[in-house]
Amino acid sequence: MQAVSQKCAFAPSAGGVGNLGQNQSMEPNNPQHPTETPKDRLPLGRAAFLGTIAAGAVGVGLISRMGGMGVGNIVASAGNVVPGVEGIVPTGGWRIYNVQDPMPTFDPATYTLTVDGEVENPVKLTWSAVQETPMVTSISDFHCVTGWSVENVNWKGITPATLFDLVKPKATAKHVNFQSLEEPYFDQLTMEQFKLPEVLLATEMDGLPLKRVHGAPMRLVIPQMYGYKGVKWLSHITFEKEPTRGYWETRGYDADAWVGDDVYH
Amino acid sequence: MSTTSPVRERTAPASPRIRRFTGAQRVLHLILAVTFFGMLWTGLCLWSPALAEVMNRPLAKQWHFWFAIALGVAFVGILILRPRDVSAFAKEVDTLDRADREWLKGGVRRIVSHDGAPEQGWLNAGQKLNTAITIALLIVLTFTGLLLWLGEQNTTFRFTGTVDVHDIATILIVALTCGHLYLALFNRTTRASMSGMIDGTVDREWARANHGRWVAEVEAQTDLDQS
Repeated sequence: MQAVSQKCAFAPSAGGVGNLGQNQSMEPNNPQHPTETPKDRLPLGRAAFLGTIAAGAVGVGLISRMGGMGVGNIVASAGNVVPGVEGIVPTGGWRIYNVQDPMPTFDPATYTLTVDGEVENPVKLTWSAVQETPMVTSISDFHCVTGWSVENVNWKGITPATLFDLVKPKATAKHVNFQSLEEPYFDQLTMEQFKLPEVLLATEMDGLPLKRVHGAPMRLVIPQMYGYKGVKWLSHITFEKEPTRGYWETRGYDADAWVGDDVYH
Repeated sequence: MSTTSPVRERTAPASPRIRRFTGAQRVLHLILAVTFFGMLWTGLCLWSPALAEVMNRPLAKQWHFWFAIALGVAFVGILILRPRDVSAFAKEVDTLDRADREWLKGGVRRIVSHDGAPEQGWLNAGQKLNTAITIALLIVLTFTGLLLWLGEQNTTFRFTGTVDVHDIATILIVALTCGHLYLALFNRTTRASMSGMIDGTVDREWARANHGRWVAEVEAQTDLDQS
């Protein structure tokens, strides 16, 4: 008997369209489908299959033209009625990216910002010294390389010009390294890139002290480039003679992180 | 078995079980299940702030990527080794006949309860559409995933819509999978089908009630083979 039921193993193909003639020959036993013909078969499965793929492809194009729709935000808005949802789903358009677990935790008592390298006056600033440094506010858009963006982010922080006044870079300083408390994350800008308008060493976002997930207490902001250049949990700035490739750049990311004129306003 | 006479085989009562899926089909389904939940878990780690600290981003990305590669390799491998087992699905899912369309008119109630349903073939209309759309969504997730991966390496390929379509496709495929799991594990009318993907067989009488046309075809074919 086992051999008989094994033969049935290939029966599935008997259900396919290729065996339609055979199906018809059996139809007299099946009063519900006495007159089945090939015309009764419509390629609706194929249509669902191809339609879904086409919707995906067209969707990428259309949503890109619209400038994104932030599905994560829609999900987050729907979930906002639940308290504490902020830690579970991305909110406010932001997605939280880190490379080490756990994320660094800011301690005002022990935090220092070291600035050294090719400078006349290397410094090690405590958190209170950082807070006493003059700051400005700047509104800019944030773009992530994975496709999402947050518009009109209100940053407050120290400008590169203020930092230069403090540490006095030497003429040999051509590049600037930004080291995160989240070892081994770091990235690098050229001096020219660091001097671009709207670049900040930010300590506040949208009127509040920078949250842990956004890099508390300080992160680099460079709206002209994708977010992976904006080192979070900033702890050490080093002025260098030679270029180095940053954390993600050594893992295949585009060394050219410019968001482009069509995106950056 | 070799000592059994053909006459006796023909007259012996049919096995209470009927073969529904081949070994290759079950292996591919199992690999899809494992890699799907692997990609879902690592994808959630890449998406949820709470899970970002459970699995770090570079590691989650690597696993997410390699689960996708594993699924693709398994699919191509089984397509090469057992092409008929894969094409049987493609042929079955391709079209919906009159009975299938009638079946769909029952809506959600029909999916849960097959009472009064028109007699169905190997796969019913719901199973056909689920298969077609799930595989299509996997293809959408694959090409948007590839675009996300390429976009990081060369920002020319970075499109604002990619991550949104990847998210939408994920939500849809998770919803389909939840329904699929409910029907396979819990729903009284349909849960007898689960064994088809475990040992390859289902209860013959359950199959007769829910996939009557298919059982008739299989039994007719068996009779032809024996005559």
